[in-house]
Parts: sequence; C-alpha cells; structure tokens
Amino acid sequence: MEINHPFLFERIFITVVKVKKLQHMKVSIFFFLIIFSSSMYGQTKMIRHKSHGGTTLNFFKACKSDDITVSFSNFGMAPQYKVRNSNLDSLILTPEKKIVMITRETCYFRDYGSNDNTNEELWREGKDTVENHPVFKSDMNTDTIREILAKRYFFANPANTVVIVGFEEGKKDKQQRIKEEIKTNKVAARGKVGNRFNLILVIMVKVIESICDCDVQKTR
Amino acid sequence: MKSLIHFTGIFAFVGCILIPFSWSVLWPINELQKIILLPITRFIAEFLGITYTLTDLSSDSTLFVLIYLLSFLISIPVSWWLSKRPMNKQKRIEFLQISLTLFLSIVLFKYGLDKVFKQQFFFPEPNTLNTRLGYLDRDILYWSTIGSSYLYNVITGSLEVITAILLLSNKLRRTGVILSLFILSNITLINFSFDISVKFFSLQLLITALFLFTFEINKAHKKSLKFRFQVLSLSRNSSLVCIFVILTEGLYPYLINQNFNDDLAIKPSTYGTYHVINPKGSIDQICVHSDGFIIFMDNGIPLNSYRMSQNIFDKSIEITGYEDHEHLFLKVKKENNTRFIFEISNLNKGKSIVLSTEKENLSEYPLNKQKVHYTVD
Repeated sequence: MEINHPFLFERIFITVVKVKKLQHMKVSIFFFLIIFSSSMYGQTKMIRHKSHGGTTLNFFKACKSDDITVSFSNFGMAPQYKVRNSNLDSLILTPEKKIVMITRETCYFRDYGSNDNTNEELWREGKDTVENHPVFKSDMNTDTIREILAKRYFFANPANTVVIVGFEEGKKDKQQRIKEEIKTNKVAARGKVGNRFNLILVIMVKVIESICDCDVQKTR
Repeated sequence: MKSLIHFTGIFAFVGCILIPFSWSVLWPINELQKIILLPITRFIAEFLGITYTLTDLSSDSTLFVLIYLLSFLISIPVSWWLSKRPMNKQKRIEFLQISLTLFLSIVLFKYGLDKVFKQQFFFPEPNTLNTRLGYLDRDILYWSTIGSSYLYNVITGSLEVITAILLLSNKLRRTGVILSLFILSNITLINFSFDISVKFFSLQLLITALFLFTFEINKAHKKSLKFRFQVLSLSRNSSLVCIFVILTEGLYPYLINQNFNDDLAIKPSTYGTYHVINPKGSIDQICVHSDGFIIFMDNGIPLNSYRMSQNIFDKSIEITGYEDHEHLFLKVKKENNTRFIFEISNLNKGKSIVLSTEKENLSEYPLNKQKVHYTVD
C-alpha cells in the first residue's frame, strides 16, 4: 500500500512554523486557539455501534455478542485492523481418501489495546482433516486443484507454491517438475566440475611451490 | 488552597495509573490494570448494590466510573499522609508535575495523530449518509460532521501534536499547558453536550491540565538562549527514552498498518449504497458498511444490521444479526457496473428474496465534495 498523502507532512511542518512564529505574540495564539481548539475523544464503542445502524437500545446486545468492531473501540483511538495472512502450505490426500490442509499463520483482528488476537476462528493455524471435502475430490489432478486454489480461495501465498501430495500429477506440474529436475542436475554437474578444477589448481600450486622453493617467510 | 491543589495532583496521578487507557505499544499496562481492577471494581459495585452490564472496563461504563471513585478514595489518605511529611515536598511536586505532563503529552500526541491520519473521525458510512437527520443521535451526527472535512481534521490533529511537543519542551511548557487547557476544555464541553461517552476521561485530562496550569501562573519565565536537548527537567538519557516511547506509542499503529488516510483505505468490494428497484416488503435501500456490515433501510430509517462473513470455501456470504442471531445467506450478482442483484435466503425456512438494485455513486453526494468556496458568486 502506498502513502496516500505525500504532502501531509509538509502541511504539518508549515503549521509548526506558523505556531513558532506566533509564540512571541501570546494574544494571537489565544485567538488561534479559540478558532481551532479541537475535539479529542476518539471513536467510542457507542459511536462504532451507531455507525452501522445500531441504537442505544441494542448497544448492550452488541457488546455481549462477538461484535469485534464495537468491543475493540474504546477511548476513540484508531480502531484495530484485521490481519489476513493465512498461508496454505500443503494439501495432502490420505490413503483413506481424507483431505488434510496444513495452514500457517492465522487470520485475526489485531487489537492495539490489549494485543489480544481474538476471533481466530476466522482461520486458525494448523492441520485440518476434512472428509468429503466440498471442493477437493480424490480424483482431481494437481493442475485443477491449483486452478481452484487461485480462483476460489484467499490464501496469501500463490497457488503454485502449495505442496500437493497424494493427488494425480497434472500436465503443467509434470513439466514444471521435469524442468526443475534438469536444473538441479545441471547445478550438481557444475558443482562436480568446479570441485575437480579446484583440486587441479591446488595440485598445480603445490607443484610450482616445490619447484620454485619460494617460502614466503624466507623472502621476508 | 495549596492542599487542594496538591490533592488534585495526587488524584490525577492515581487516575493516570488506574485508568485502562488504550495503549498500543504499552499494552501490558492495560492487561495488568484489567487483572487487578476488574475484581476490585466488581466488589465495590456489589458492595454498593450497583447493577452493571459491561464487564470490560470500557470508557464511561459503570465499572469505569467506579475506578474514579476508587482513585478518589485512595488519594484522600495518600495526600493526608504526605501533608504530614513536609520533607522533600518540592521533589514530590516536581515528580507529580513531570509525570502528569508526560501523560498529557503522550495522550495528546496519540489523539493528534489519530486525527491527522483521519482514523478518529471517519467519513460517514453509507448507512449514516442515508439515514434521515432526525433519526441520528447527537454523537454520531457530530462525528459525521467533523469526519466530512479532511482539512479540519488535519489542522486540529496537528495542533494537538504541536501541543504535545510544546509540553515536553522545558522552555515552551507554559504555552503547551495553556494550549492543552483550551483544547481539553473544549473537548470536555463537546463530550458532555453531544453525549459522547468519553466524559470522565476528558474530565480527568482537564483536571490534569488545570493542575499543571497552577504551576505555570506564578513561575518566573526564564529566558536562556542556549539550546539544550532536554525533556522537561529530565536528564539527557531519560529525555531520549521519553521521546522514543512517545514516538513509538503514537506512530506504531500507523507504521504497521500503512494507512495514513482512512478515507482512502481499501473498502470491501460491495461497499456502498444500493437503491432497490423492485421493493419487496419494506426494504428500499441496502447499505454495505466498511467494517463488513449490511444494513437494510426503509425510507431513511435503518431496519436491521447484519454482520457479513465470507465463506473461505465457496465465497458465499453468511449474514448474522446480533440481536436475534438470525443466520441468512447472501449472494451478490453483478449484472453491469451499476446493476446488482441481492439474493437473501434463509436456509432453515427455505425462503429467499431476490432484490434487483442500482448502486448509488457516493462520490456524487454533496457531502463528499471537499471544495472550499472562497466567494459565493
């Protein structure tokens, strides 16, 4: 996200300069104050509740229910924000045709007031085993699963980073795997060549040293 | 008179320690206060036979007001005990003055930034914009009025930030205290007259500012041209710590959130007001709130408010009313840029309503135009 008002700090700076100039004229400051004396109290629970059509009569019910927006407003500070950072690490098909989804990190409302990360039921970190999953079926291949993940889910990580185990391998995945295998083989081969080259270099240096008999300490 | 001033200072100080203010970085203080104060205030309420409904020590709840009673009761023996001991009186007053100035400064800094970044007075939500004026309470009406002007928020917020900085300065503290006295008296007045539920806390801050003002009346104004890096009369290291704490406490939520103007923050995709073309029953408008609420309106009067939660599996929307915990399902189909179809179904009763709607352009509302007319013609 980008900073929305690049000139905001400039504006503040200009106001500061104005006030500093005025500090020798106390009377002027007072006039300034009467015009701009501000209102500070913040977003209260009641205002948060009324902002979405609540009334004083049903305020208590809203506080008692799990209405997060109301329960986390208090002295009118900036409200807490919702953190959506669920990652799907892997999707596994077990031999009993159950589907296991392993997720990392949670989806919650972060509260500045108490640092109490409540409402984790939105999406809880860990391992979920689902029988008769409404979306994923055992006869699907990895390509279709990745398509579904990209279209219908809201996970923070891209669909092609999810590790899928137990399902039939799709065409795209197969190509990707072959490419990666070729890459790793090349790297391994390079590593071997490099090692041999290093060995030859060391032997050569030793040979030259023994021929020339150039002892570093002696020359110094 | 002097003992009364002394008592006011001690009362304000005890209040600062006990009141569970919404700290961001200093949140452990909050937790500690809640653990200690909840059983005590509950005991007092039961002892006095007072009934209460809210149990989270939120602002202006019964238990919250009892904290002030408790701090009043604590400060009576403390001030009496201290008045019997004239030793180190000057140091004690100086300690009170420094700690209360720091508290006032940090609170003003936080609220000032909240205003500058437009988080406190938010632009009215679609349902507030479409509720008839007479059906709004004074507090939400005041909030919406102030929230509709960006310039006013930035200027008032920066004034509070400047006051907080002036309070810390050793040389300009007098100006800071006078400024804060004006700001806080206005706030207290607004809170009481517009029925905003931060009445007691604003009163406490006003008392604190008044206490600090009494020291500034008679003090000779020292003039020194030499610049010294100093917060109040603290040492260089403690000054640095104070500045660090105040800056992190105020700026942390914004640096984490990266939201420097709430009006331009990302809203839900369905956010807005929808005018129903084929009214069924009394619903003639549907409003979607930025916090994920859906409000059904009847001729400018809010009927029901439901919380929306999106199903992570199939993107269907479940809506729950907090009054009767009624569960409904919602499907929104987009026909074109302005036409939307809302299908609300009750799975238990097997009923469903289909409402075809037209989305209203909120940016064309007169309230949304931030233009300043320098001349009327």
